[in-house]
Amino acid sequence: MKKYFILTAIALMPLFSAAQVYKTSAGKISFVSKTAIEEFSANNAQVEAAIAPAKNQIQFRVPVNGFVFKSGLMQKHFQENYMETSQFQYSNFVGKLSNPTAVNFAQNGEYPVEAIGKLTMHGVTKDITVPGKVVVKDGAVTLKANFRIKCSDYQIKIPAASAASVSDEIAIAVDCALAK
Amino acid sequence: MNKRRILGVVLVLFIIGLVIGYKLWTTPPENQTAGEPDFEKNLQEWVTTLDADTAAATTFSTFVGKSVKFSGEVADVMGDSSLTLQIKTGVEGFNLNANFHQDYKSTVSGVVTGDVVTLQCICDGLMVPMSADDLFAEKKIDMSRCTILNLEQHKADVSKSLDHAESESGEQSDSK
Repeated sequence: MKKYFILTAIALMPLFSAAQVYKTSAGKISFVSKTAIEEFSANNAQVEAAIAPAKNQIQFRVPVNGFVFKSGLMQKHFQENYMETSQFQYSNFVGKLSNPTAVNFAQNGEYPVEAIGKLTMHGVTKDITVPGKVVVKDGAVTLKANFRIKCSDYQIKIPAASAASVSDEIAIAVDCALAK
Repeated sequence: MNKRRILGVVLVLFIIGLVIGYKLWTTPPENQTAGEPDFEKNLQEWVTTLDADTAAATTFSTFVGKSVKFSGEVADVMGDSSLTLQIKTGVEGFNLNANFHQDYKSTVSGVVTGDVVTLQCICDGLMVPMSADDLFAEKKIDMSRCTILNLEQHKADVSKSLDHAESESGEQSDSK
């Protein structure tokens, strides 16, 4: 009887590990806007990220007010005039990996992946594809990605007076260390 | 003469404008809340009300961008480049994350799980699960630019261990 119990437990073990969700509430996202006149960046260390390998599901939640700039005035403009955070407090990404079998969550390694899903920002939802990588190290999972988005796609209006100093295309870097 | 004076005034005004503009542009953001809070809340009552409210995300918009003072027990300490204290709300599946800018890391570094803190923060938003499939099943209030107004460190375990050590040493000396 004891033998059967142990065998059943061993047989079910992969199911339990596959059903696990890796999460964080302190992930990092930064962005850079670069024009011929000016370059500026902002960082956010309050990003919630999760990946459920069994369901092939990835999710990110970004409190937009969590972006910190070097300039206080720039941060205020970003929150009030560009992102209108009183109305749109969060940006979300919900998606999946296009190649989920490429990642072995039980083995250390860097796995190139592609996330396909819906990015909601400033109240606008768009389908996007993001290249990135999943880094597995000693049971911890890190999601990394670099991609670009256009402000105009998300109805983020750049005033004509700032058009020369604020780029429509923004480079985004994601670095979220997740744990079970 | 008049022309020169007008030009001089315009130049002075232009320089003053430049200086003010530069100062405004280079002033770093305020990373801590200060002064009288916009709201002072009993955390458990507040969260219970929000939890029962089906339109809580909309209701909460009143608090977004405003400063709130509240007290609670630290459930977890997270983060590296900045620091986030997860505060117990007393409601299952409802979290509160209070974020501190990295400049104040030394102030927060002494806080551990179980400490009771009184904080003043800016409300960033209330996140509720979007669907049944949502990987984030919990509701969560996000706050940033937090300031610790009061810290009651959790000493229960320390005192217990001290008592225990004292009683043990007492017993040892008695037996001697």
